[in-house]
Amino acid sequence: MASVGLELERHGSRRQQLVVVGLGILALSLALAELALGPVKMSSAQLWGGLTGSGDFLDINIIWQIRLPRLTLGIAVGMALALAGTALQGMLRNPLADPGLIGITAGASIGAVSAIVLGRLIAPELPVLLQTALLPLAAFVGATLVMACVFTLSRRGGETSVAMLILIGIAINTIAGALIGVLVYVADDQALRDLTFWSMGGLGHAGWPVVIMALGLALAMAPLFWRQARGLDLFQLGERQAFHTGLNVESSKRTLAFAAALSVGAVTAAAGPIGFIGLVAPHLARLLVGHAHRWVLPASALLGVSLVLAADLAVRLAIAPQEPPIGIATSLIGGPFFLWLLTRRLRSSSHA
Amino acid sequence: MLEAKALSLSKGGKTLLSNIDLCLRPGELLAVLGPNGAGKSSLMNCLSGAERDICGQVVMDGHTPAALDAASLARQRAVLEQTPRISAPFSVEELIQLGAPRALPANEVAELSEQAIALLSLGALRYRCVPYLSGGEQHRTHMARVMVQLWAGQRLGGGRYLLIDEPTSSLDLQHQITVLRAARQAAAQGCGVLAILHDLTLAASVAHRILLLKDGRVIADGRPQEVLTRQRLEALYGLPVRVETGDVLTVTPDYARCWAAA
Repeated sequence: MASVGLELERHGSRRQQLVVVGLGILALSLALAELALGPVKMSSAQLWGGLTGSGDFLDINIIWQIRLPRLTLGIAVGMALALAGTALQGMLRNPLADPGLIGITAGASIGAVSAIVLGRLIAPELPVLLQTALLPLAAFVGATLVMACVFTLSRRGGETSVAMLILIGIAINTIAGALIGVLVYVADDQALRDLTFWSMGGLGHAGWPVVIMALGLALAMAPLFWRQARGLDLFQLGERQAFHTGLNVESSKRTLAFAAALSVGAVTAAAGPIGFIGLVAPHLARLLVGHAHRWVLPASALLGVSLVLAADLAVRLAIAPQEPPIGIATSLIGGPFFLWLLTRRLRSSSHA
Repeated sequence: MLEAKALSLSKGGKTLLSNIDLCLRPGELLAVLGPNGAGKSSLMNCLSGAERDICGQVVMDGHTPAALDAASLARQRAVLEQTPRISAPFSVEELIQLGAPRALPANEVAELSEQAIALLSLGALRYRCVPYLSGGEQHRTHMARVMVQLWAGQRLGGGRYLLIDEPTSSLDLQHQITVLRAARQAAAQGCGVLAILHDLTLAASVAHRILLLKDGRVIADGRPQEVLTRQRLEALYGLPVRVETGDVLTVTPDYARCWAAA
């Protein structure tokens, strides 16, 4: 990785620009593939007709009712998880921080499952807009609570301890599993059905209102992350030196934690728990564009989108027309990647 | 002017600084000396605004540093910590440019980083990854970053103070001079420079004024020749020392007596 970083600088920022443009093209082609491929394959003419509404009735329906919401949600999930992962890794100076591993996704899941199971009791009383918002809102509250808890517990003498963070993540994932188990136990049949689909994690189960909400929140949080690009660079100096260099450390952390909790909450509510995107995307991004966050953030967002869309395509096309949950694909790629990172880190720290 | 008035600091029931009065004037290089644990770094953190729970007052050109926001404070003063570090494998050039605030246009950032690379003779290391450099090289890179922050502050109407904590501790002879030359140059351009040092002879040769600290108290403050006397240093360090005043003032432990006692 060092030699890559070394190579990059010599070419100035031109290379980073090219990489980001290339990743944009990759994400775009995967997006088109996501629309065109499936049990019903579409030519570019059919695709155009379906999108603009001038084509065949069936094509229009497939595009607008099935594939476009799926694609939109995929973009939201990829972008939100990748940006949240980049922010957490940067802020905590810890390459293993991932919304899933440290328990943020689990927190969002508790919120979402509570909303599904308990929300049925109160939902009929609520206005329609709030009914749609209930799930993401509950997920956000869950994610925020866990984030606050994780950050408080893992701080030792002003520094966030790496090992503690991971261990707390394990504990929180366990507790979340138990709580969700309790909720499943008390859920009625309809809630159980909703819950089962949701907890497998997938892009295909959400309707337009939820999808729009997820994308809207993911897009709204993106500028918050972007404005912290220099802050994330400065965090690498340690918190005190970052302050000395002009960073308002506490407000920067609050902004990043808020943006991460809200975007992870929103997409987890809509798509269920999808692991490892937040871990893998920032790492690949840094391999490609170096460590300056003004490049890592856009590259990571585009890679996150590409990974999610590629995983979704893979699971959909592998055993069409069956649709195994996308979480399986991301965990199959992400799990071994995490192990590799862990061993590499252990090896380098035992040498130091 | 950067002033401390009746400054005290306690942490966890332990008094780190008590009743310190200090004044750092523009254009002056003040060396802070004292044994380990005398409170030198704590003093620097109070002056830099990083330490907020202080008794007494710190005043920087009429403002309280701890009350200013981080960005405007960073425009007024630059700080080199005792053990600067970086977690991400930035290149030397990238790390140096981290010192420049966002308000400065990119071409000026590039210009300042060139200047800092030249001043701290980092030209050959420019594209190297900082974590793979030797300790001394890393330290010089961080010093270059701090100089960029200071100069950037000057372009934005600040850049008044430079606070450096043991800037020479991990450097070879040549680069001790390189780094302190940068500090002297800053003072010559009108900055108030506070440097925490351990080498008494080096401090005597580079500083306009010396402040001696012991157990969080000021025990002497004045010109090097006045402050660095044999009686005072022997009491301070608990060690026989030799002070020679010739062209340059040199302070060394009286090695013969040190080893004879052992």
